[in-house]
Amino acid sequence: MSDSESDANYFKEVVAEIEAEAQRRSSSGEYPRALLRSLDEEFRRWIPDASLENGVEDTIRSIESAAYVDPAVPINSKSPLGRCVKWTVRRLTYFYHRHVTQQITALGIHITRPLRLLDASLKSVNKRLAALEDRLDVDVSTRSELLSGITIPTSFEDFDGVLSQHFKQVSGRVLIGDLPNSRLLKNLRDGGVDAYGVTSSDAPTQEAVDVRHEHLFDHLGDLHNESLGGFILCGIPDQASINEQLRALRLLLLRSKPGAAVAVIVIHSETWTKRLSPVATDLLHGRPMHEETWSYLLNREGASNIRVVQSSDSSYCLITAIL
Amino acid sequence: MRWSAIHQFVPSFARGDAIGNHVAFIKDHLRSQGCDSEIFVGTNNDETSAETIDLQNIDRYVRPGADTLFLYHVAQASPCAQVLLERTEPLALVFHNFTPPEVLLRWDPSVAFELLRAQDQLADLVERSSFAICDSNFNAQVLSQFGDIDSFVIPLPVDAPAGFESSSGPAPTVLFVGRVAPNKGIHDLITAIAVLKQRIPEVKLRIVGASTSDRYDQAIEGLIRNLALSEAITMTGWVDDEQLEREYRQASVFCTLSDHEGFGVPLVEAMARGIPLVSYATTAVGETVGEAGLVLASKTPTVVAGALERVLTDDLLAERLCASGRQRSSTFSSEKIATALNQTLLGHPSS
Repeated sequence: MSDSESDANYFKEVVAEIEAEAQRRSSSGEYPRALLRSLDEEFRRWIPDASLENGVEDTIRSIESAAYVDPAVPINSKSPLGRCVKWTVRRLTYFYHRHVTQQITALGIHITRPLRLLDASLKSVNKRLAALEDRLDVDVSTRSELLSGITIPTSFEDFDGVLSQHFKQVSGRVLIGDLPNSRLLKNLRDGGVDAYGVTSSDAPTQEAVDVRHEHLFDHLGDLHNESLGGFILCGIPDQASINEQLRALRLLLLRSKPGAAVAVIVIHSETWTKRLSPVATDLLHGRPMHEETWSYLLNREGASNIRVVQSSDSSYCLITAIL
Repeated sequence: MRWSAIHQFVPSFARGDAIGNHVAFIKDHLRSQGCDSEIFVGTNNDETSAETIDLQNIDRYVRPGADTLFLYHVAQASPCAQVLLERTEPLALVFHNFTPPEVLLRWDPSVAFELLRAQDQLADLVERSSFAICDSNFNAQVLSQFGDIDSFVIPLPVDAPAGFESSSGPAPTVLFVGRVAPNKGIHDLITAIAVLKQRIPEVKLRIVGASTSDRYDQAIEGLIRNLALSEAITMTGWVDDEQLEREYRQASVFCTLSDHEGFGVPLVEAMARGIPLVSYATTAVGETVGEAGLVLASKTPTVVAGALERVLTDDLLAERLCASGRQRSSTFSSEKIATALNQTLLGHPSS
């Protein structure tokens, strides 16, 4: 037996021993089972298809755009004769190619139609599931009643400097939602930031600024992924259930580009408790989320430069980060 | 027939990557054999523009009717393909294989569609070509799916550097060299390191290579952070030759769990430097490594971690892997590859 044959046999034996040992260690619990379980999950959550809110929508759009076949083949050529020949061939065969490509396009449409229906069903299920999750929380109308003691400040003047600085270099649109008033928006726009607001309030805005009067979730549902250069989330953290807060964050992160600047303005939990009646604090216990929780969630989603700034009266916190 | 000129065509030319080095090697070798040889590129690269000719200027350099062979390096879609399909000179392919589009579809759909376009181009090119040179038997087999063509298997040349000395530090270091891309299985390597740290807490992983997918890059960084491996794992990004040598010197073991390799230059580079090798048996990896490394049939984190632990703790095994790897790498010496090229290119009968 040559040296290389002997080595090859030895290496094969070693591999067999390694496999057997790995099997033994896994079954004996020598490696923490939780770790082994978490490894797959940890990577899966980063796979684009698994994390995209609009994964199905995007896929259908790709199929639709690919399904359209253009029968007008290019006729560019280096020589005028070549171009002339190609044009003639195209002209003569156009009736045939158009017939074939129309059938292919029709097939594409027939394939995407059931996918569209499936997508609509999935969205409907998601919506109902979200509503169900909210119902398990304190009822929405009860929550508004209980939260009447909380008013969102008309301005966040303490944070003006930090916010202007944070969004100064941002490229792309910056969404502010749920917009408390147009002052914050105007301030950012005056600083050169391409900001716009979204508010569920019907109250008209005084200044000529870009404000959409619709529910934040509806607006986010209509946006494309990675279309925002940044966002400021306010109001929602003080008024919404935990499910809604998490959903708002998840949607905002999906709609933001990598490198987007983000900010969350959240009422300090002690202030929140002080401003509410004992009934409300009991029934809404645990809301809003602490600034540490927002920082943790942002960190978990891969954000960097996470900073927390307190307002001068310590009633509000501003959490800023870069995605 | 002896060609008076053999010109190469590549989508773009960069020194340092596997295809770029191969193109430069062929050009130098052909010129040393008295054969005229130029490199034509579809897309100009500022750093190498002095060594290449823009595809648009082809007629200035190629005389009609001369004994000229065109060699086209196939690895992606390129405007070169269309130009070559329209020319009348004899054509041969150098097939480096494509990343399977289905692997990239989730991460970079536009790149995946480009690869599908490249596959379309390849079918036309195979029909037009006289013969092909493939980096591996695996590549030759893949190419045969695009049409009937005579294929010659000539691996890429990799020489052992003179005076290479390992200087691995106190912490055992696992090294990966290659593109940071979804098909390279870097996420598998990271999860294996998470398991290995249970046994060897001081272990380090160095991932050396540029990223070609922002989304995958973000996923890898997120995975490292969530598994609390930021201290243990370093992603260097692109490095120059000098830094690459330093990385090889500091490595205790080289590991790749790639899902798709048409050849695997870094595997040979590691073997040539006497670095023990752990790899996953897939595509061309088995035939490149031969019987000179631990080739695993599974890349389950526990199995990979077990293999790495064994190499890091069993000196006898590590030594035998080093010696076998060095011996195996000599198969890919530039001298042997040059001889094979002579037989195929300079002694090949005219079609």
